[in-house]
Amino acid sequence: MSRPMLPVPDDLGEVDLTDRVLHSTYDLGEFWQHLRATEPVYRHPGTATRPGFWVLSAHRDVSAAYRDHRRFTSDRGNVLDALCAGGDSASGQMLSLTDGKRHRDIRRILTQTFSLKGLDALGVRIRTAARQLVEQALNKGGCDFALDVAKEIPLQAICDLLGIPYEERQRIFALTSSMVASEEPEQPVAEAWQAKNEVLFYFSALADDRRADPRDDIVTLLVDAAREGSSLTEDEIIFNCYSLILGGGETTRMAISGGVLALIENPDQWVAFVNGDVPVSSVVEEVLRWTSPSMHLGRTAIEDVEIGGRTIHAGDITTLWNVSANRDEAAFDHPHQFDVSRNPNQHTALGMGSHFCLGSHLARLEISAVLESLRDLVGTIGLTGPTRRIYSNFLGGICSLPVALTPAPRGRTTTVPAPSAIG
Amino acid sequence: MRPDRERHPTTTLLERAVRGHPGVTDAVAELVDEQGSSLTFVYLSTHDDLTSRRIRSWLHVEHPGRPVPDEIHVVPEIPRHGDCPDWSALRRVRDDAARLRAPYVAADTDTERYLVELWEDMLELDRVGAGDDFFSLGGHSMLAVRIRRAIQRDRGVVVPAELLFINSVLADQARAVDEVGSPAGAEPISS
Repeated sequence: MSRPMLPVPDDLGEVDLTDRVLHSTYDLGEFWQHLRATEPVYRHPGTATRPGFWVLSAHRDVSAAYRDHRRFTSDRGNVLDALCAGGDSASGQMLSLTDGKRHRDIRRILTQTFSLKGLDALGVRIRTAARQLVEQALNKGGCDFALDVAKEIPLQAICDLLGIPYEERQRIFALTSSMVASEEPEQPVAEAWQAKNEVLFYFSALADDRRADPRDDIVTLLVDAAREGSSLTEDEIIFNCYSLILGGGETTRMAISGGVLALIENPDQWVAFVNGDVPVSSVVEEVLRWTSPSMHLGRTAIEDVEIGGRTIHAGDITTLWNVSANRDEAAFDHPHQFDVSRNPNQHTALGMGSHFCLGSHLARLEISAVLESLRDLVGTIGLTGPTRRIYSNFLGGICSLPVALTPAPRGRTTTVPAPSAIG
Repeated sequence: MRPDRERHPTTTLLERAVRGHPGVTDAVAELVDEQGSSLTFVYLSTHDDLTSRRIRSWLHVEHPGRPVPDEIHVVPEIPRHGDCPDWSALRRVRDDAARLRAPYVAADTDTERYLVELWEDMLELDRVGAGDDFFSLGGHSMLAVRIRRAIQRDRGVVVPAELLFINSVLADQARAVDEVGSPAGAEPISS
């Protein structure tokens, strides 16, 4: 069920972090531990067709690099593959790929929507939907939790915000889930390119629709901003929609299914949670740390940067590995334990600094909604078959989680914490 | 540093003509003898979104009957040593561009000619031919989206991304667009 541990080779260069199959097939825990201990600023070798890049694995270095947007820019891309291919075609045009004033301008347009207040009404819908989906699963006695619940909640939420009609949503999911990852180990280059292109094409058409027929959604918001002379270009509108559907739909899907799997694999934590010993907010943070769906984020050094005795030169690709930072012994007690009461929990799963996840409130809301439904409605949850992981060097997590569910005993507390009900 | 080459009347005239366009910030022209035939090249920088094709059609309208340049290259800035254009750097611009191009084959069908114009505008290139490859010429996702949207608008058909990806050579793409556009097939494009 769990991935076999990858032995640390004598020659670290044998571990190819760009290999999309590697991350899904092996647990790289020991490799990361080794890097943190011996080479926290590690130079990953390049090949004839791909440049080398820096690998930051320690929590302190990853956090510092996130916060240092003056010296580590995102505007050439923030995903390893795109950076290695010579820069993202969306560079400078997508919120996550701009820095400075341009970044603040675009971020301002979207902030209102993704604020706690802005998400009020959607929050109610999300909680209702989560409850319904868990109830349906209970009625059937089981489900594929990754597909039937973890996928649906973020997909419906981000599609609501973007204004994507119901009948289009499953097609959009099929496309967005093949843009930077896939469920098969082999993915032809063409497939990812085509999926991405269809999504961009879709938003290009949707933006035209909204220009003619404004609605209460993000696409209209972006189109209006462009019209009101904020200098937002057509390409920026489309790239930002692309970024929102990917960031909003895919990452939280991984967090929810990985979080539920962690609760299944750690029955004591499940008990602590459903008994109300631990607030949901604390479980959510541990789920984010534990799953770290964005395995890495990339940056490019603008000037020479000295870290831990190594010099990252101006122009060098630098990757910040959340999956390692969030298991760093120096930042977390017993980092390899899933501990829903962990406090403090300064994980980097949502990034840090000026590019801190725009959808953090939404992500937490969605994960909470699913967890609360489980706590209120479900008595036991267990695996009924093998889980499956997606293949990617950027996103990591579970895309299939077959489970059996039984209803909660009557009278389980919902919001009032039961004081240490189980000893 | 080598002295500026002897100016040929053709290049002087061309330079003057191109500089007359309000969007052009700087322009130089050169005449090169290549394998027995002389070719004229124009390099220009612009503060506008001027493309080679637009300059070419502008020259055609504003200076009818004048010799037209064989190639027009839009560059961010004309490289110079002092006042003298850096001809070897400009030659590299031309060589780099040539390396990405297939041997020139003129467009033959309506759809090919339509795509040539579209590609020239989108890719900001000159003299796109039927054998040119979209990706070799720097085509990327968003350009492909714009091309698909333009085809949808102008031809009323949605070309799937897959077709564009597989048929990245202009002549193949034209054929694919025609096939999508006429589900019955076998409908030749009349010229």
